[in-house]
Amino acid sequence: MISKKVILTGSFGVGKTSLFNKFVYSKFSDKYLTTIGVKVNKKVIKVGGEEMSILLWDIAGEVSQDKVPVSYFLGASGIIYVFDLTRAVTTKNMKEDIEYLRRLLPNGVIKIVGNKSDLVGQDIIEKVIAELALPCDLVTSAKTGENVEELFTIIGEELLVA
Amino acid sequence: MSFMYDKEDKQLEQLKDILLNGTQQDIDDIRILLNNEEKLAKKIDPILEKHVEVIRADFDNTYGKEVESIVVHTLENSPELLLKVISPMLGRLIKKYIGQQFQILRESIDQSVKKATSFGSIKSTIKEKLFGVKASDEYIAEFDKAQIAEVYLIERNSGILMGSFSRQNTIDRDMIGGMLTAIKGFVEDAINKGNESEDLEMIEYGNHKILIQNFYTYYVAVVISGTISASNRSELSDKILEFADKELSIISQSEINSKTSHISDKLEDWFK
Repeated sequence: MISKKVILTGSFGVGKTSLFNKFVYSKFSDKYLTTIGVKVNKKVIKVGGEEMSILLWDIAGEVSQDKVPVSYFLGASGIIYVFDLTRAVTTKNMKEDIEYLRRLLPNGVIKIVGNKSDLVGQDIIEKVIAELALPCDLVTSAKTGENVEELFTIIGEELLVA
Repeated sequence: MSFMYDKEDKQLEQLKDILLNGTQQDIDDIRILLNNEEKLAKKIDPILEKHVEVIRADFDNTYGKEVESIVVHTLENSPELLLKVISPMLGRLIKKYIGQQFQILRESIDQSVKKATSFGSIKSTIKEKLFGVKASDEYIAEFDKAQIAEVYLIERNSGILMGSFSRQNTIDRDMIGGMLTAIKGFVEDAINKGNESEDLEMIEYGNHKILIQNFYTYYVAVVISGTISASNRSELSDKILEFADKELSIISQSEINSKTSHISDKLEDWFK
């Protein structure tokens, strides 16, 4: 079985752990518990008729990605950069963060994801996305599960050909 | 006559204006652009950045061999540079080795003193004389208390498990590989300063120790239950080196990744 390391990163409180829990355990909780350091888990998904083990690293949120220990990113095949659709401040360093991550992982698959779509209307989502410095790849909701499975399937498919 | 020349000059001037008007404007624009650093940077920077990106993405293929040959050539022609590069690493290895040997020596002296003076020693000598049970056998049995509980072979950067062996049912081993790598990475990032890079080599909790032996692309983590002496630790370290040399040096990284179960079997053969 192929194993790939995928990182969940972004500013604090954007819902990385909620996405992690929804994807791995199919669970969601409204309680906010800040992640200390990093949490690692895995899930086996099926892509292109093959099984892929995704080793998912849920990293503690940081306002800027250069504050995250570099070793966490090493050896990763994919990065999910999460921002909060309800808080513009979580998109403030997006361009610099993505440039930094691309420098660390020039061949890695990077996805920009706007989370908490259940808290805002479609018009707000469109407005937020239009104002982003970089294109948003997917809009998700860890609460309703919207696009969570899809996100990892897309990443899995891209990792398979990468 | 003069009137004729004036007229010709005027016509020539008009013709020059018609022909060069657009071009002159372009030349002026270019001159302004060249003299204005900010405007020039705005035009050139995206082109340069794109070019740098292309070079960066394919650096290994395009320049890998050249860089390698420059490095080899430089090191060959400048042994002192090579020494400068490897001496801190050598220093640390020697320091570590001497420290380890001192600990073994100290333990050995302690044991000898204890053995010669203890009541147990006198009792063992009597036991040996009366029943033929050697004291050394008993000491070996004592050492046996330290037992290898689990062994993990983990890809150094990603934390992806390449193989494992465990005596008991444990939580998901892939997760253990990931978390160990995260802890290791965190400690090394937090404590290492500047170019002095050192590796985490042991984690201790209660009666268990996780001994970590680092290699270039992977590391071996051995979970030990019980007390392990410095000499036992040194023996274990030698065994890991031998395992890596015999079982892992002949296969490539991609083969290692695709042969997890094969490597797990090998780990069991070596460390059970």
